[in-house]
Amino acid sequence: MKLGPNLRKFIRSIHVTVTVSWLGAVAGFLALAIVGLNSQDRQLVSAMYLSMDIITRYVIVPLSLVPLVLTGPLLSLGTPWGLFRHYWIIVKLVINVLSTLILLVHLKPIQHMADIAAAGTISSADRGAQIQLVVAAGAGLLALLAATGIAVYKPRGMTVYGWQKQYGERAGARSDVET
Amino acid sequence: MEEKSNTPPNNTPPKTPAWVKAFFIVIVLLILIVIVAHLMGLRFDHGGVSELFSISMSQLNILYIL
Repeated sequence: MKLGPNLRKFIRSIHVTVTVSWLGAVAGFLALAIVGLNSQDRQLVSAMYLSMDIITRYVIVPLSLVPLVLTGPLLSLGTPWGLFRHYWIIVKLVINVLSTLILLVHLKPIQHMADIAAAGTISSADRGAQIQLVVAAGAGLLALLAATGIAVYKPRGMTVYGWQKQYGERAGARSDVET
Repeated sequence: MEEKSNTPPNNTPPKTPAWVKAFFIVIVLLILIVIVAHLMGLRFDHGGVSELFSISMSQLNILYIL
């Protein structure tokens, strides 16, 4: 399956928009998590964790799933880049899968914090969960920054599979020309 | 001037770049650190990881979100 140039540009536009939006949403989440951890204002802290829950459910999770299950596979399988031909694409895929998994694992702690924030019962016993959310958001932001950098620089390195595909296609094309 | 060839010089497959090896070593180390810390009693998940493999996907709110 090969995408036409217009469709390819369209999907790439969605992919870039969604992935960069994901990064921005995680940065916003991190800011809320830091304020929630450090503020002494109970109302403000409650508002932070309620906001984080909403941002996670309706913004971050959808933004993480679109490039993973839709635009990423379409772009890689519908273009000569392939999904397993270049190491930078595999590394991006691994970062994306791990980030999404870690995000899904954190849905419960985020929901837990939102529940106790709504009840107004956040205490010092929840400090561990509060720190965890800051650390996870910071790590997620670093991972997404790394993925963005990799996508821009596209470091060299072709897999054995990619090399065989390219070498085989060239050899096939050459034999077609010769015959 | 020497002309560059578009085809590889021989049939040997390319080597894995050092940055890729470093990346996967870091990922494996991070996973090991999390597993060891978890075994030592540190909890990162607050009910998340331990339930992840035993509960249905709906409890992860995926269906709710979609």
